[in-house]
Amino acid sequence: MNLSHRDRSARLDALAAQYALGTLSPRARSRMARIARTDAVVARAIGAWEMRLSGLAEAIPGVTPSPRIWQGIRSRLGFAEPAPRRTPWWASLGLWRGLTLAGFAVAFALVVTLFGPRAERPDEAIVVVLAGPDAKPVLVASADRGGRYLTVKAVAPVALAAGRALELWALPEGKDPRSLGLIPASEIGRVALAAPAGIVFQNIPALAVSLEPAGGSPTGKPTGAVLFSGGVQKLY
Amino acid sequence: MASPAPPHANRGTALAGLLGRTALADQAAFGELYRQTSAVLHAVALRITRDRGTAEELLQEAYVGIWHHAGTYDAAKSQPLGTVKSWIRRGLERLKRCLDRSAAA
Repeated sequence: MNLSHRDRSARLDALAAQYALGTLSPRARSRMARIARTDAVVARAIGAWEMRLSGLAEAIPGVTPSPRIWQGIRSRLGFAEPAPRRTPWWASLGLWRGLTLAGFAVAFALVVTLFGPRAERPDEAIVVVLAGPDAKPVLVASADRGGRYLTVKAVAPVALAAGRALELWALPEGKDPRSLGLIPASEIGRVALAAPAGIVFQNIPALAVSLEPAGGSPTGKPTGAVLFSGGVQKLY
Repeated sequence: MASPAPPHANRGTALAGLLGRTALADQAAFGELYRQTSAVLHAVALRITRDRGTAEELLQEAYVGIWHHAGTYDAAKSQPLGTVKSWIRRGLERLKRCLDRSAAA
């Protein structure tokens, strides 16, 4: 039999592993022990495995098995399917139904009243009225269609406990929320946008605000309850 | 001050705990045991069988066997589960048994 050098090394490695593990038959084991007494290559191969298995050397790097292996094990053992994850708040229908929009006219009026003539052109604006469960507006966010920031104004007192922050989320339909950043702590502040507002909000029907630890959600998804939400109104 | 136990000994103890709960049919503990040990066992199986398909089958057989016989891996046996080595040995014993069975078939 003409094994290539690589094949022979692999075969020796396999046997040395079984030797060190104690899974060779007694006859094969004593034969290998005999060879190891005079063959340094074999002795080294066995020694390397002994070191690995005793934890004195780096364990061999794990090779993660394909997920279907675990599925196969579960199914053979008759495990029930894992319980479905509880529906996160942003996926519940109630949120969408409850987004009774302030109405085009009201939004228009709000932009003019709150942000004044110096601010965004009302007819090119995006407005979001964020209200709590009682539908009373708490925050109003607006942006110029071509602008790169969202202006957020508190129109009702917002009590925020120490060590907490309010995080603003874009809610694309059917997808996970995307963070737009933390709501500034002051009565009126700005949230920077990654692109002009018209583009950022192109397919975003609604925004929501959740209560997070100071510094924002550590996971990239909302971890706290939704406090306010509102539909995105485009005034163009 | 006593020196801290080497990491692999701590891990061996943790594995022994998971194995104990597996013996009591704790599916979550078994899943965690799989999560912690399957990559290393898989790697060793690949080195021994040198064939991916065989290694995967053996891995599956091994863990099915571990579920059914978790209760036998206790102090009464000669090999206490105090080190990662003994865990790998146990897992590979199961693999070898499966290998022998399939070779005889």
